[in-house]
Amino acid sequence: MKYIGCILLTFLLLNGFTAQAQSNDLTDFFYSSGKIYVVTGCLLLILAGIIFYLIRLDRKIKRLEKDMEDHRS
Amino acid sequence: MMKGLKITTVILLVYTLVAGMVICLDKALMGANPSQLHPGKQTVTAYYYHGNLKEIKDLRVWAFHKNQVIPCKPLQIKNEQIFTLSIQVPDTFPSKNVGLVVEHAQRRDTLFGALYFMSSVSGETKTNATVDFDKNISAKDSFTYPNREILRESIRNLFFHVPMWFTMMFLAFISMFYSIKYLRGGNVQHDIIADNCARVALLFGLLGLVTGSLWARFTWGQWWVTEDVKLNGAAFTALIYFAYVILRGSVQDEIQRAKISGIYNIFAFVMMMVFVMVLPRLQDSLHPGNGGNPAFSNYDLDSTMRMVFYPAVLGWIGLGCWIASLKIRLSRVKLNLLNS
Repeated sequence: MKYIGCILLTFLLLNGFTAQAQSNDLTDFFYSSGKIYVVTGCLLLILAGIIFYLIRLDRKIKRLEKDMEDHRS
Repeated sequence: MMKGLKITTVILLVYTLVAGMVICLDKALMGANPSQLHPGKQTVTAYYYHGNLKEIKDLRVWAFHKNQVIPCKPLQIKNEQIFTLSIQVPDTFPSKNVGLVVEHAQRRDTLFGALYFMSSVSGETKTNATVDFDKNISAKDSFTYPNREILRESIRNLFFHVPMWFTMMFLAFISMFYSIKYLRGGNVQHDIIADNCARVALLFGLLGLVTGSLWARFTWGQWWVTEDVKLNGAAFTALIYFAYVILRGSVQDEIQRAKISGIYNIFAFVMMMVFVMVLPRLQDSLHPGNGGNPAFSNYDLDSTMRMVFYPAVLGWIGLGCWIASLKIRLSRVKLNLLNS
């Protein structure tokens, strides 16, 4: 839940920044080359989300493995 | 069965990524400067995208409004993408919503103001030539994605943003299905499937929200378009599934937790359908397929995009099921450990 709060806050901040400075470098970058970097950005977001989820899953499995070892001994 | 699903998922996703990123966009005129025409003679600079102007031998340019056409004189091809032309605009020619057509031996491309795709211009260079604009607006002769004004290359997001929602709905449906099964039979295994599918559905919902937000920023101009019903509906849906996760966490007794969350899950699915599928259709929305338009009309999805879009949807759904199956297996092991 903490992470989600961070993401929401980032978006709110980004919204504020871009409203003030319409033509900063990052914005220009996303508009360049026919907006292809928007697609790249979306793919990166999806990848980041899935990897984040897999890391969490990994941790859970690790915890379970530990539990199992404790159970046996 | 799981092995086949995994292999198919990998193949479909690789196909989606390769075909989604490699296939070119259609050629199109990006814009022109000045953006409005005035009566009299004037020089216009035009920008061409995804084509090489120097390869065009016989460049012919037309300006048109409705059925009125005036030929323009190409002056100079500055580089592969930029050329200048001269137009003699008569007094009767309107200044707004003028289309510009670039024509050469193989194909004709568009645009100046309004976006039209022309299929036929009568060959003679005379004014007031009759043009059939309505036919073959989306006709094309090459294997490319449509080059839309504003969208441009970001049209490829269709293969990455939209399947997120399909995956979410699919997993939410599976989740509801197993919730009903649990409520009928009381098998804990069904509750495990329902729980984990709902959580993975939430993951894909959130991914859909962030990718959609990024896409919206550079096409609609805002991170979040508050007026758009579908956006808010999607956010509500994410909140509804958050509530599901919280509800599960807040009930200690296992059987009670399974029962309460099972019933809630059925309502959550119905709410999601209302927020994402029903309400946006009743009001205008920036999303295609709302405010009365069919979702997959010829304008939104052409045959080349369909060839990648449907495999993309199946691939992402496969990935969602794969992740969900991992979680389900983990929960089963946990349960066995607890009972032993």
